[in-house]
Amino acid sequence: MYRLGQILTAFAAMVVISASAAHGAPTPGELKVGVVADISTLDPQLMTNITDSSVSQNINEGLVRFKLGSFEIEPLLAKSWTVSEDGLTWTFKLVENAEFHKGHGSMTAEDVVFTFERLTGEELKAPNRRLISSFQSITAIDPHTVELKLSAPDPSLLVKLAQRATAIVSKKAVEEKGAAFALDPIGTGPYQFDSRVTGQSVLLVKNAGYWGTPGTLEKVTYLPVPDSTTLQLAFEAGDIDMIPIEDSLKLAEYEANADLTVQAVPGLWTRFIGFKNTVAPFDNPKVREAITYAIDRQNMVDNLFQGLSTIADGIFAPAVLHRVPVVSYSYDPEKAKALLAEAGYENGFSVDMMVPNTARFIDPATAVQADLAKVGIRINIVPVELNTFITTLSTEQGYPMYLLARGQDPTPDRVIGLWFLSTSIPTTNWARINDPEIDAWVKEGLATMDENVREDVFRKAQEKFFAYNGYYFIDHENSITVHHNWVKNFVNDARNSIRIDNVTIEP
Amino acid sequence: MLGRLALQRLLAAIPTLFGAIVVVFFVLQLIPGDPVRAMLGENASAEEVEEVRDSLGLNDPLAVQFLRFAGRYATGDFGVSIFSRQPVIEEIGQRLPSTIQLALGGVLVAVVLGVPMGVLAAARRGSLIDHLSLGTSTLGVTIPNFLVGILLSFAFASKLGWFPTLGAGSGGLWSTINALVLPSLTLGLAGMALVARMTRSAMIEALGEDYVRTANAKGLSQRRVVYWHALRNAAIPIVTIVGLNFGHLLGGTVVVELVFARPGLGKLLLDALLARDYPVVQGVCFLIAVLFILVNLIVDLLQPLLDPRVQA
Repeated sequence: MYRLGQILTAFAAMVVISASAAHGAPTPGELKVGVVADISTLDPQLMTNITDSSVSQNINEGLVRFKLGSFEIEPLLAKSWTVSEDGLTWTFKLVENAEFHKGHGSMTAEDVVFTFERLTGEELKAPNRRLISSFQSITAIDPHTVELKLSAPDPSLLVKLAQRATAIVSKKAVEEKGAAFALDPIGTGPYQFDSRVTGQSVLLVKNAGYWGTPGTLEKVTYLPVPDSTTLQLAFEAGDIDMIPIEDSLKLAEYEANADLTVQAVPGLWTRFIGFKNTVAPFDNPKVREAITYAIDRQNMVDNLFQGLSTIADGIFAPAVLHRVPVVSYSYDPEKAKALLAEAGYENGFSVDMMVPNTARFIDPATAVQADLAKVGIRINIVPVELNTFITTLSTEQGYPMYLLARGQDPTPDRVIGLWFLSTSIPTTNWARINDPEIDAWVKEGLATMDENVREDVFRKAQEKFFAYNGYYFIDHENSITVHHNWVKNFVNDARNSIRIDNVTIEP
Repeated sequence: MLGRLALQRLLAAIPTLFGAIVVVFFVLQLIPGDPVRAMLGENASAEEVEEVRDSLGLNDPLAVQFLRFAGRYATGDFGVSIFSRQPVIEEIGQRLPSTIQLALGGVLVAVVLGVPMGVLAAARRGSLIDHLSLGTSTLGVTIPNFLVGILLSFAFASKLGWFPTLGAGSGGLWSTINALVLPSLTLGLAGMALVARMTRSAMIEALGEDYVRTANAKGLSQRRVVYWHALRNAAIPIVTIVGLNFGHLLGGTVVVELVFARPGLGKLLLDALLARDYPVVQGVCFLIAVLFILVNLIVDLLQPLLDPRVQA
């Protein structure tokens, strides 16, 4: 027994001593980013999740990108471009000194053509193949010039070219590696893929041969930690340099901590309650209007969300081009009751409100339930698993009343068509708003390159759309990141894209 | 003849496995939800979704899809993840070692802590030690392992720094073991309770047998009587319960893997289910069915080894 005890003690000591590098010691040149999900793929033409995009943007570059911290477009692999009068032909001049990682040669027009054809072709079955919906063809005019032809003008083309789906890949590498390219991507970016341990880490290292301003870090490691408590513990122990925040209590705690920096930016989200306008009692506009008087949004934002969001003043988030602040409500429960009585519901009514089963939606739903109870509307909250929720919501059946959030793009084009047009009923026009004027305005705005016209028609469309009260808009959630003070020059943005341009570690 | 038994059992397993995958295939189809919606998000148009569904064969009639699926499985092709486009075998293969390590770690903790506890309780029946060990084992079952994991992580990883807060280690043997300690303790605690109780009952029964009285009369030391004679006879029910617990353990790994940010089959299955990544769900369920059958087979084969009186 004594011998056994000795052996066990020695074993225990070995195990503990071998605890890896000291906690909380940042290394200059090495950034550790906490993310909430593991990567699924690093093939830009296949990716659909945000972690994939955050990692991939350092490896594969697009023709253009957003300026750091904003949604202005700036040149990247395309150093300049022109567009024809009719908006159908775009000519891009490419940089001439971009080299692919690990000796895969220079980036030329051939790689750009390959990338676009790969995205839109039948073979790859890319989920976002219709990103550029009017795409017709792409040709290499010379080794550093490509010509993109569209079947209809696309005012939001440049924003689309800043997305992952059109990030340029090495033709040589894709042909060599086949499906393996997805976990060993080759691009032109300031960092190159080094290695990945499934479910644990993704490591990028600096690309010494980068054609542009060199990366400021030697190594970037992405650590997927799905559980928020674990993520916070690891961050607080110094094992991770920066993480996203979605918890108001943690937000307050981190904001009060002088060794940490919190960056909150109004995100590209709007949270709202939706109604199915074609079914009682929501087919009665007075009922919908009554509800807008019955909810105290300010209270929710101040006391429930506490810094996680800002009150919604528009259908679209503040950063979206051509969005106007059309949304405003008054909190007046008496007026709500009066309107309900006028509509024939002086005793109120009961209704189920479907909600995806996470705190992000259940918390506001509970507040809404309490507010509406005061005017006689008895809400039964029905939590539904997210995928089931989205799939059911987009069917003919839909949900009479529900609470959700919707993401948007920096330009309104894709989303305004999906939410506003009568042709999008019921898949994405969940309120079932069928208005020929709105249809005409939206279609006009989508078809022209003239930003003044677009501003005008989109404004009118938003104003009229809002007046239907097909949705009650609650807030715009913030994109929030916290990092230790030894991380310098990090700039958060509305999409939480984790851009690491200029970031350094100074312990 | 153990070989014969093993062969018989393996052959009998084939219809079981087939039944399992048929059930999984059709049950998945019953669940509302759509993998393409999960990929493209709530802002995708109906046309986009249908086009991608068509290209992935998801709009084909169920019978066609099933035949395609069964045909592939018969040739050992477990398909490709809808999301990552990686072979399901790869997705599983990258996470299986970590889960097996954790499950074994959990079994080890359950046995190494549970058996001595049960033996001690049985040998000193009715004493304070007996009551204490029963009480501890009850605690082990009642406290949710999620909570235990977070507490252990907070105390020993975050504050004391003896263990990593996340991950499965950086590759070397000691690093892997170091990263396994807290998760195994978390997972094994509930199993320890079960094993301790079962050991105690089995030991009490064994200690009451005639051969124990004989051994004592012969003047053998307490240690020899208890550990060599009684425990060996009590081993069968203990081994059985460990085997049965293995399934429960596999399920328990999901939560522990989540808390300690370890890669694992449980998380793979959960994520795939939420995203409706059918090929991955089918692959993991198939694997779990195989593992279950194997573990139970091993338990059955061990019994005649442990006790010659048991017929093979």
